[in-house]
Amino acid sequence: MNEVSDTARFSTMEEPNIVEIRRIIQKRASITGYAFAFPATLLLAVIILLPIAIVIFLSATDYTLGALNWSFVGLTNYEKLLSDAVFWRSIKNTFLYVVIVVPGSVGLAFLLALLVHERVHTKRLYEIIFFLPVTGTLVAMAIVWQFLLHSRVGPVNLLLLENGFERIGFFTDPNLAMISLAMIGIWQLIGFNLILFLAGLAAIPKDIYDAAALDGVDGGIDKLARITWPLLGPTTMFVTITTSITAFQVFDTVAVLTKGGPRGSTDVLLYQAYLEGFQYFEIGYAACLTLVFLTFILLLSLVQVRFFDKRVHY
Amino acid sequence: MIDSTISLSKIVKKFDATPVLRNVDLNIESGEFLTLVGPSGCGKSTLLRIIAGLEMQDTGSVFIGGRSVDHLRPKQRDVAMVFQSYALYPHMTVAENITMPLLMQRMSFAQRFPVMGRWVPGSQHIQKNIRKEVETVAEHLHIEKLLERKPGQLSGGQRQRVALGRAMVRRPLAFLMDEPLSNLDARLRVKMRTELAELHQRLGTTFIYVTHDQVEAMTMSKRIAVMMDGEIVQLGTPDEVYNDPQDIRVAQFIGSPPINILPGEVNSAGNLSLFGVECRYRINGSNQKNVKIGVRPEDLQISEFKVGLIERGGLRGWLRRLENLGNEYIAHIDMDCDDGHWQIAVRFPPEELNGIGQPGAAVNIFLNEAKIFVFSETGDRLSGEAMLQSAVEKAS
Ligand SMILES: Nc1ncnc2c1ncn2[C@@H]1O[C@H](COP(=O)(O)OP(=O)(O)O)[C@@H](O)[C@H]1O
Ligand SMILES: [Mg+2]
Repeated sequence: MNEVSDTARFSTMEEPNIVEIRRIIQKRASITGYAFAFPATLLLAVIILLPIAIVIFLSATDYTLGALNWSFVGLTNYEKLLSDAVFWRSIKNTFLYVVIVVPGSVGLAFLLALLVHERVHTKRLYEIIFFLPVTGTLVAMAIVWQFLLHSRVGPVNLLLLENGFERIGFFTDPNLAMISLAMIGIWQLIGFNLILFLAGLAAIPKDIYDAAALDGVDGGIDKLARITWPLLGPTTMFVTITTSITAFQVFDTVAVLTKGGPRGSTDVLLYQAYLEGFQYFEIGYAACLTLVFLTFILLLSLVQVRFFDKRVHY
Repeated sequence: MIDSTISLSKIVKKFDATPVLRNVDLNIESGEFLTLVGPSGCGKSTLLRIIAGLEMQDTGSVFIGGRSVDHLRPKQRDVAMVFQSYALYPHMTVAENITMPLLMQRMSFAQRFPVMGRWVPGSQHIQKNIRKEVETVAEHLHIEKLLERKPGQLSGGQRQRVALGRAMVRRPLAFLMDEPLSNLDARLRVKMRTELAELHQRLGTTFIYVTHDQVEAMTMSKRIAVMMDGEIVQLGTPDEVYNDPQDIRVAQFIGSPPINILPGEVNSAGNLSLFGVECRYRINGSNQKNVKIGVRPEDLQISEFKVGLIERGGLRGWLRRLENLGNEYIAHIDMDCDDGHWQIAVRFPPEELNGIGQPGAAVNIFLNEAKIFVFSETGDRLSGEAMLQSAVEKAS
């Protein structure tokens, strides 16, 4: 075969060849792609989607833990739920907790962050101190709070008595118990929010404050209202939503300190689900409660996702 | 005419124990465009921030418009600053950004109070006037169409204009600009250079323009202050700074490609020699033995190597690399002598190419003694004079 015909053949073959090769490569690439994505997808399905599907399935049954017979009951569990005064009370209590804890822990953390941010040498020290409650196990911490606020032997009450005040039943007064738990919730969440706000503050370029000082924005209130607060907007949104989600999940302190009492005044959604599922073994009904809980969390997550998708990040 | 002079008197600034500004004295005339140029970290920004009141000097005084401003806060000093990062308020529209200085200046705390402020007497009227002025400034800068956008939606050049607008709208006594063009691409930078110069002409206010770019410094102003290690080492016209540098650091900083620094020797009679070849140059009243000779690439002449030329004062080197810049050539030459290896650059027009171009080929270098600068070992300029006609003329 001489050179000329060789090249000639090559040039006629060239085009279909390349198209063909491209197709094969593309096909191979997509197979490889799916192969790589497969383990992660499998994990996602097994760890997250499957359990949720099971909960949804269970919520439509009358299954009780350990029972041999169970049957589909359709929406019966939900009907029962809607007419259950205990359920509505737990919803009310949960919201009360969230409504106190979210503004409290976000607002206080914001103010503390402004103060701590100004510190030069002691900044790290304050960060560590305020972060301690976050690292401590809440159950263990709750026992300390139980002692501190105990209605008879608690130092707080002894101090009140000594100074001529009445005892306060922090965990025994139905009007106070939820507020006491909320205070502990705030105490526990502040550190984490503080760290997030401090990160937000550190991300504001110093130049902006310099430009502001030249423009006349140098008073504390002006600086806060015109620069710092708006620039911390995205951080505040994030902190508020994550705090809401955490507050919604209140359980440990209730379980350790009040067991939903006194007179059901601290009976929250997750504690109800726990009681139904693990004390009364009403798995179907507990699954129903869990789904209500998941719906709230999902809504909050959606707000967060939408907000951060739409909002232009400065 | 409003007095917008700026005077600095013996400004000293240390960060911790590190001196950043050492005894800076500087007088800027009313309406002058002064460029402050120096390598990164020499203290230019710090000096500007001290003038603006963003940083406090350790000792010394700042005078703006003839009065001492040391006790005044930044907003009271009546100067505007343009930052390298622009420092626009990212959460505000362009209009709000430009409005900010006027808002803070003209409205009382109650009047500018968010939402409620609009019902405070007088606030509507002031707002309307401010809006008009903001629009005028925006038109001047050709950003009137961008007023409702946020800085994040603007290009670098547009942000730059907004930053200028925010500075202009107050009609300050002086503008302080800290490397305002360094974040722009090369083409836009050249365009903005001209625009800034025109802006200065139109406004007639004092500009202090900080840059580390010597080309910007040379092209933009009538007077340049060259700063090194926290000191102003030379203050003069671009011509003086280029053609009569008083310090070796100034000579090395200004000019591209940089000036060639070569080792010289001075004999007891004051005669200078380079690489053992005597030059027609005499140092006036100095007992230095070893000196440094500075010669700009365009003040050297290059030709093909001929043995005869060495006798007539030429130096021998080897061509390492030739750069063709279109309107000129830059030749990089290796020089070897007893005390080591030296590399020098020669700049010449295409007409003088004459067969030069083979890397590794030997070439002759001639010094134009009338154009050399001699510095002491510590970098101070030594006075001296070229004698008779220069070697360059002789060679040609
Ligand atoms: N706030 C500060 N704290 C400590 N050192 C600083 C501070 N600001 C500037 N410096 C130092 O001062 C020197 C001069 O800085 P600067 O004025 O920004 O230089 P330039 O603007 O000429 O590049 C640098 O060495 C820098 O590290
Ligand atoms: Mg700087």
